Amino acid sequence: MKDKKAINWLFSELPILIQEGFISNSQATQIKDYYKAVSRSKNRNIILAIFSLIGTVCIGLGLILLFAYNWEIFTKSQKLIIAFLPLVVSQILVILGFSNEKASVGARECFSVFNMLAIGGCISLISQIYHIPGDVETFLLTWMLLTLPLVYVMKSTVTAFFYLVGITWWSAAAQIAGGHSLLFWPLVIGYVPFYLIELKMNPYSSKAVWLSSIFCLCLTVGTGISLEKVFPGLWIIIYSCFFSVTFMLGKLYFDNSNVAWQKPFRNYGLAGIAILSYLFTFQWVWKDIGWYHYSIAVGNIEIANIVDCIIVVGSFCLFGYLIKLFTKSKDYIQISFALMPIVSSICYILASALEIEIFSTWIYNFYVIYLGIICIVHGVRNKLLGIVNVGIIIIGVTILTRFIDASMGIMERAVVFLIIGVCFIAFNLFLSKKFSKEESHE
Amino acid sequence: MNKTYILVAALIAQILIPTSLIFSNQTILENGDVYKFKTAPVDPYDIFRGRYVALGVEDTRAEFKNNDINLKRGQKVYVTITVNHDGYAQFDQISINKPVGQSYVTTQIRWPVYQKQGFYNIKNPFNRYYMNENKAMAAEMAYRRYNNKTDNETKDAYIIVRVLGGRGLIENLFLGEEPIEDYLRRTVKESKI
Repeated sequence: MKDKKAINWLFSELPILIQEGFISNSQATQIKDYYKAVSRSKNRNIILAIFSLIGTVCIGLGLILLFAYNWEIFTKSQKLIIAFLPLVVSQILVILGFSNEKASVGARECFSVFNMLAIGGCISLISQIYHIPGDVETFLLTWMLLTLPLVYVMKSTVTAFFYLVGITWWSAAAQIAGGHSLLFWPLVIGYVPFYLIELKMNPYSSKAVWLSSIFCLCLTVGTGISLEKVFPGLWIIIYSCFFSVTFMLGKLYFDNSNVAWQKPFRNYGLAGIAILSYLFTFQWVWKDIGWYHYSIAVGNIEIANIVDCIIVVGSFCLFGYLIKLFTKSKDYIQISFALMPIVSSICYILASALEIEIFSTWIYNFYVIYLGIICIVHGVRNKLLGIVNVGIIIIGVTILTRFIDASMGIMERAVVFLIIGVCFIAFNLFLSKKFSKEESHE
Repeated sequence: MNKTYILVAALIAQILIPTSLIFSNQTILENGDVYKFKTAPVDPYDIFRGRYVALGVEDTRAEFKNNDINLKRGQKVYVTITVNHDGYAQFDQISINKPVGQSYVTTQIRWPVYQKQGFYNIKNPFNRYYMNENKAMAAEMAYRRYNNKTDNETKDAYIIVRVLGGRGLIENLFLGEEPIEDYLRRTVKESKI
């Protein structure tokens, strides 16, 4: 992407260079043709890599089905040899891909993915041959641990993606089996060095953006699964901190691109804050949460409870550190969004202490409407129609949802709507006086 | 240079782990104690593990004599095996330490957790018998017929299991006195005639 930007910049400079007499028209044409060819060849490489990957996976699957069809005619020894065959072939390819410095990105990705699939296939076949009882979590854990070195050695993005999916799946399987999934965190840490290397090279490359997006998704799902849930509602604080931290990281450290899709942290964090904030406007979220509902269910694991507390404290500390840096920007809209964990924590404490959910619900409704209002005001002031629309959508959706929300009493809703209506009109009068003062100064 | 060492170690581990699985399972099949478990009825498709007949064992409760301890769901336990007067094996006593001098399997406490009269539900360690995908459905139907005693079926369905060092492996699934593969071959031949 860096090259594409540089090429586009060069193309935009060519007319100026021609005008100034530094280069002729024909030279400009030659320069354009040369750089178009470079950019085309890069795109071709990506297409070739994708097609070879799909082709490799299809061939692998076809071979598996071929053997499966004829499975019964083989003896046990033959079956075991067949189980190892794809693994050995894929290992040879990995060695070739690793030792050949000129090997293309596509080839490395293919060999790595093939090896990863062959590992899973080999273990599965052996389990089948010996009728080993179903134990999905052990199988997935073994498979992913054997896959992790490939991510580093072959620098394979696709393998890294499968690794993240695999460990998230493992955490779900482990919880369902009645155990715990605390190992999820060390497994995630295993991925982090590879990820940081890619980020350092170019945080705005499609590879880094892709890895960042999957990483955020994996953490979102894995966090929820691995929580022991002894304190109901703790997830409200954890997820509020998670999305706020993601958003702030995106704005503080990965905001140098003008292209929206190259900012996965900012986008993911903001989307998470918006969706979660909307969810928190519902009464049921604040029902039966807090320390009075502390419960140790059958099968609960004590160390997992401690890890839950560490996650809450750790994520809040990280939030605290980042919000200090973030407030220096003095961008009150973004700060308002980033402050979501504070609002969530206040609401959590209120709902836990009073054991009534109505106050927390309305505080959050007012918070969300406040976010909508500041978006509208900022958008109008700076003539940013998009921001104005976002504000209108936030307010509109919240009001409409509350209007049809049967969990709240009609009288309650009537009173609150009247208050909100009066506030809007008062705010409108205040704004119009302010704008007319500003206009008279201009 | 470091990456080379990592690659070599990774490739060796990729071979060693499946190989150790084969050796450990083969040892059980060659040296394990033989038990016959009567089956109970239960073809879910697992995309990674292929087609299999889901098996149940007739009684998956076992006794835990220590009333001072409450076992939890998912807790790892060791269960001894005894043979009844019909020659069928059954789960006997639960222990939280490895039993000495008796055959036992390693398993987990299952939900619902019975605490009535000191008995607990345990996870059946012999729950899958892998078959050719095309035959698994027919095998499942035949297996159910034998377990539900439909079509005037009086004979039992049972599995032959080898147990060693807390691990058990299914050697074969029998319908009546026939291994299931032979039963299916015979019934297919008979239906063609």
